[in-house]
Amino acid sequence: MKLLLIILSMSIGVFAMDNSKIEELKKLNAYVETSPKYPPVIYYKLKNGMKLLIYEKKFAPVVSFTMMFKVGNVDNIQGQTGLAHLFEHMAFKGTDKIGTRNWSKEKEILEKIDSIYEEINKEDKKPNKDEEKIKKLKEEAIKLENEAEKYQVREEFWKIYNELGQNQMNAFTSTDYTGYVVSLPSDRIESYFIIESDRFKNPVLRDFYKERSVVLEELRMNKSDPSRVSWENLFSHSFVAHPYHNPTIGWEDDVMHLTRKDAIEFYKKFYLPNNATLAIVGDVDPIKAIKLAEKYFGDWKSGIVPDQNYTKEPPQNAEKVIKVYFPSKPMLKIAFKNDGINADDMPALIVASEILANGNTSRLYKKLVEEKKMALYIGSHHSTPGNRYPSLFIIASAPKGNTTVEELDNEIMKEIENFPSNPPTDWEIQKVINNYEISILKDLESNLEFAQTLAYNEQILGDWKFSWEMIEKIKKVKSDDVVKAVQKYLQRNRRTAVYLLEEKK
Amino acid sequence: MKKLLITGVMLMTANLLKAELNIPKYKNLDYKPEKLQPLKIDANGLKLYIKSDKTLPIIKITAFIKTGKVYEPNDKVGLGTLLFELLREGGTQKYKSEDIDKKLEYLGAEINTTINNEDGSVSMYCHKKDFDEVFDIFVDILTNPAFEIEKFNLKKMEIIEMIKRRNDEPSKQATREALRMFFGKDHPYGRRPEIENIEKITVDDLKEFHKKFFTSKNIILSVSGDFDEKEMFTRISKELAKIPTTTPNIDEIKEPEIATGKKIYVIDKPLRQAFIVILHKGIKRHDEREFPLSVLMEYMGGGIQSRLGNEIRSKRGLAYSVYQYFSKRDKSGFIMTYLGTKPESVGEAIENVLNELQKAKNGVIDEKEFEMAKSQLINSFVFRFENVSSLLNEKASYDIFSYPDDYLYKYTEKINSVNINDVKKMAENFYDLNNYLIFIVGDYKKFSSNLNKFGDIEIVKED
Repeated sequence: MKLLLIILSMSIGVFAMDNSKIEELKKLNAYVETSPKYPPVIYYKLKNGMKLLIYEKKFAPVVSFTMMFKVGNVDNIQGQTGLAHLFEHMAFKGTDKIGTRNWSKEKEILEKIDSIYEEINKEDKKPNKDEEKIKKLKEEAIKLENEAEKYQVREEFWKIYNELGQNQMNAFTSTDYTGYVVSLPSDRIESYFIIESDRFKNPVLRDFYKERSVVLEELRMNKSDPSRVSWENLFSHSFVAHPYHNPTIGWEDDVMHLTRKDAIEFYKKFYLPNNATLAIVGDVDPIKAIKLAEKYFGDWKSGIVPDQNYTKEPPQNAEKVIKVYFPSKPMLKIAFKNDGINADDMPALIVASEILANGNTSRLYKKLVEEKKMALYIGSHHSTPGNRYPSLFIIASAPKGNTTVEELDNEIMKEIENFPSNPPTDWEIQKVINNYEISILKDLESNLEFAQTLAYNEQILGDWKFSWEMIEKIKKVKSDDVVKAVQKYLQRNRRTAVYLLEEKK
Repeated sequence: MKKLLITGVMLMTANLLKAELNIPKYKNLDYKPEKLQPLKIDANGLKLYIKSDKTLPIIKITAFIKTGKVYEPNDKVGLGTLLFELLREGGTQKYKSEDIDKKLEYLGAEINTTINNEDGSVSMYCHKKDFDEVFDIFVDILTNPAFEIEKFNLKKMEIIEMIKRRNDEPSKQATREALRMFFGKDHPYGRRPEIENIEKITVDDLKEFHKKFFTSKNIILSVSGDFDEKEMFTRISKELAKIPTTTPNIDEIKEPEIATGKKIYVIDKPLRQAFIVILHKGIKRHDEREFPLSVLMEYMGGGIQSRLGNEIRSKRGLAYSVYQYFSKRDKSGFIMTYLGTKPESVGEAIENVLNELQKAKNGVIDEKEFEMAKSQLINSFVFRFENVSSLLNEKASYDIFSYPDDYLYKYTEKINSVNINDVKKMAENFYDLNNYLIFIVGDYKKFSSNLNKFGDIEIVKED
């Protein structure tokens, strides 16, 4: 009931769409959401399967875009981990029109460079590799790269967007998805369609091997960060068979041998209009946006998205504790296998996560941070690193004072094991519901964040309304359901703990 | 989740290519933020910006406070941080901390506090139906904090733990320690809290610091959301009339003495990447040179397409993260160049950075890239005002530092009037290749051999 009120009052202010506009949208075969349960989002599907979500919001003359593909690091084949992420970097390198002065000449050289790197790979993988030969080949490659540069306009993709006044231009790769985001002054919306349609229909992966070096620097940066090191260990030790085992940035040995050919194959397989959703939020005329989408993306050919079922993770049936040594103060990460975001008891597990570790009134915070003074902080999440497959319920904490990681871990487990004897109160459950309702409102404040939510919900979770529907499910959760979820999931034979311990010099 | 690290940048060359793609040609945006008239509370003169915004059933208030870590006494560095943490977590005369937590978390409402070097803020966020309850807590936090002793001890313990952990993240360590060496270990712009400082702080110190800075002349409020403006003003006037009008007696900060010469500090740590910070002297606040300097920073280090992004990242693959920016304080300022690279390429990376600075210093500024830097600053300015609360917050946050009333209104005009010679002059003045400080955290043996050509090396032990 409360949610209904919120959404009603919201739709009055944000979205005063007249009937003639709704009629025109209907004529275009767009679906206008009119139920007061949801924000008035417009849904449109192109013939090639690309989906469009539009939410009109007016204050400043700005508009935000998120293009979301259902492809992430899980979709990389063995030996090519990290390719989804490297491709994301490459998607900023231009097309056969953007970034080049003479594409046909540049293309010839790029192909020569490819064959040299293939030779380097071959040699590098030999047990007794010839370092001298590799060095010479690299010098040859650099010579060709310099030659290619004569035909290139370095980072022209960025140049064009910057001239337009882009804001927040970025991209994200996770285990599950790759998303491309940008905001522009709203009078420049057609430019977005011109550039992005060219970007995803005709990408040219120029400077591939240089960008691979950039990504290797990103990897080294991650390896210097204790928190990232502990996360990577948590995922790779929790999963042994499913590709959630692999770090999103990839294994170093894979990344350093990735080739442009690998990336082109990958692009052809997954970058299809029927594997994409574009969400637009802000100062936008939905009718115009639909027409532009048809004009620029309409001729993008659809294809068959490969089967995305991978080796299922077998039951763990063991408790794992991993000790990692690192030059930093200690940290603790704990994971329990869950059954996936669509499991019937996931709403109950969400409630459990919030009751355990969201805020100063949560059980673990009160016990471990305030009362026992053992933890510096504590947090949890019901489903990490992804939602496309069964994933992990995680807890992150760090010891404070003289407490050891092991003592902290034991106390956390004790509190979890005591949970069933202290079932959640109505107050605790209502708190979770209230917080979810507010978080949905907050999401609506930022154009870009809301565009990301819509595109992610639609393309990865299967329905842009996912967040609103999850609230309805959470409202039905009873105290007993939460206890059952805790008993089922937060048990030792589903558990992996990583102790990051200080490596003394 | 992996992120491409970027802020934004410049340049266009290929009109021809654009013709092929038919990207329309746009003029630079002529956007000026709406002019805002502040109101004042009759009783104490407290200034506030109020604007109703019915798009969501939400109410937001932020109190911007002229205070800061730089005003902490030298033997009690960390006092401001402790105060602002405890404003939110230490309870008030009327509400116990536990009740505040329960109330706010149950409603999904928030009260947050922040203290920076030279300012601070206390903000609230709630559903409009919960306004009365949350606002009452907000007012009591601002005016009657209690500093409950249990929470006081807990927060002290947390801050001490954070001090013990301050070297865990090498990039943060490198930037903090670089500024510490640059401004001086004891200067308010350079110093950092130590465990013995924190242990010394008493509840009376907190009360005194609070009393000193939380006065009506020192606070500006921004109020936005779903309400009636008149009613809201009356309500706030009534509740905040009790904020005292005393003029704070704030100690003058001395201008820092910045060492001359080329100095390199290294913390030797066996990490996969080396983290490099290069510091040059910058400008003080309220210096008209900030406009040409902004264009220069955008041109040189504003993102992948900047000179440094181009040379260090894109062309040579030496770094994932590389940027340059400037920061101004009341009495000084700095220009920071930051990059992370594998230990073996530290020398090559520094060499290339200094080369780019030298080129600009010699007056070699690419005209198209210069224009692009300007366009980027002008066209993306509008994004600072995406909703009503950000419009008000931008204005109030500049008022706190006594910027001219039309500062934001004239911002794009000022950027637009910058010409290439102004930027060349900035490069000539500020890229001083005889006076700079380099700070590196990394595996020293892998880059020690060719480092001394950039300056005198001093190995520093981390603490």
